[in-house]
Amino acid sequence: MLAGIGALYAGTDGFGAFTAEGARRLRVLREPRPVPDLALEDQSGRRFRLGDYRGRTVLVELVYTRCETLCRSLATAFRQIHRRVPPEALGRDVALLSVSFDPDRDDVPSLASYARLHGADGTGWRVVRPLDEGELERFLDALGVVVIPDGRGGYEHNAAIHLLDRNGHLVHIADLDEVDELFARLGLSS
Amino acid sequence: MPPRSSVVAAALWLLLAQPPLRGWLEATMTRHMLVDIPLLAATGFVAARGLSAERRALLRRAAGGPVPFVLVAVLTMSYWMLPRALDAALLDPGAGLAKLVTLPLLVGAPLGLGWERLGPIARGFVWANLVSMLAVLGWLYLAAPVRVCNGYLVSEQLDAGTWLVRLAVGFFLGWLARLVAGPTPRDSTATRIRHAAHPGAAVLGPRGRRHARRRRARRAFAPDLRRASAHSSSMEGCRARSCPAARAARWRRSVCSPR
Repeated sequence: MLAGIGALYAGTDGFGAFTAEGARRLRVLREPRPVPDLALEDQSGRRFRLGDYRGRTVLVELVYTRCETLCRSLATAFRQIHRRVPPEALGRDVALLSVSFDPDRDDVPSLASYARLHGADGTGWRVVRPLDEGELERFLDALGVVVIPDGRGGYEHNAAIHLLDRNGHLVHIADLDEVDELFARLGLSS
Repeated sequence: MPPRSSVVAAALWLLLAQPPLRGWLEATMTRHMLVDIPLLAATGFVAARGLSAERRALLRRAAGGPVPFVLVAVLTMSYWMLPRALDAALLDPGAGLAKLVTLPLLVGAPLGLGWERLGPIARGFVWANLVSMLAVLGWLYLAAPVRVCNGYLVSEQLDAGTWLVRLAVGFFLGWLARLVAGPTPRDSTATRIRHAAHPGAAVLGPRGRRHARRRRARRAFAPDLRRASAHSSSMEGCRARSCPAARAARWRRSVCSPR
């Protein structure tokens, strides 16, 4: 009986996480982990690597530009953050990346259109697509993001804001309505 | 040679472990929760029931009775009903393997060993636990504002929630029907299983065994007797072996005639 309850306790991270989403967030809080580097292309066609952002805090959201539901909420949260981060810190200390997990369909014009729609400026907030499918797979695995086709040409995916520290470690996964907590963690009070 | 039921259970388990069937069963949340998991548990149950009565009794004695078995089964089943366990089984090969092993070994087999010796109150506890678990999970899947499983679509979650609630209601109505119209506790399955496991040879003397035989015969012929009472006036001379009146008369002669 005790062994059974112990196993259930261990299997739910101390009765703290009953869903995979809760478990991945808890795991990251307890053990920050490095994320693999990624070759990216932004809405202006500029190419760079995620590793170029070492030394800056990066907020990452996973989207696809045709999304009408969750990604819009993610974009709204990013717009909120984009407005609240002091201009002198934006791009220099903190950067926002909307990463597409559908790079085949999300070409540069699609990224640009999405950026225009939501107010991504291309410096502090960039809308990007990975250039290598294998790298994208490893990146999604490291973050614990699961993308499944919804049968109507779109996708369903777990939506959250991923916080990478200056060393490129994933240290926090925040919900869309936890922008204030995220700011507190970033050390930005406004 | 292993008992036939154990061979059937092993064959079913092997079939369920095959990637194409596994993929199909895990493709929707409803099939995963309500077909795949129960079938895997059933393989363990059938295999355990295939053991001889002596072996089952030996294992129960080693565990200290049927209750530990049933508790292990309930706790393990509770884990595999969690959304994160479903996700893990889907996305992590290690967890998928753990599901294939633990459901027969820690849910089905313990139930197969413990259930037959469980008292009515403990059985009621297990049923109540099952019905409440299904109802709460179903309600959660229907009411949750988010996807609870990363590996399944919202539409599949709603579908699974609906089926879980339907199943909970079905089990509850079945239990209620049994309560209202089912057999008396004296005639319950547990009593019959106890009789089957211990036919009375050890505890009853020859007289007791004779009485037990008569009781069983009376139960077996009871419907015929009722039919016969309405039938006998017009069928007094019936001699056919299948005729209820004739069967009842033969039984009366064999059981009730003074010796």
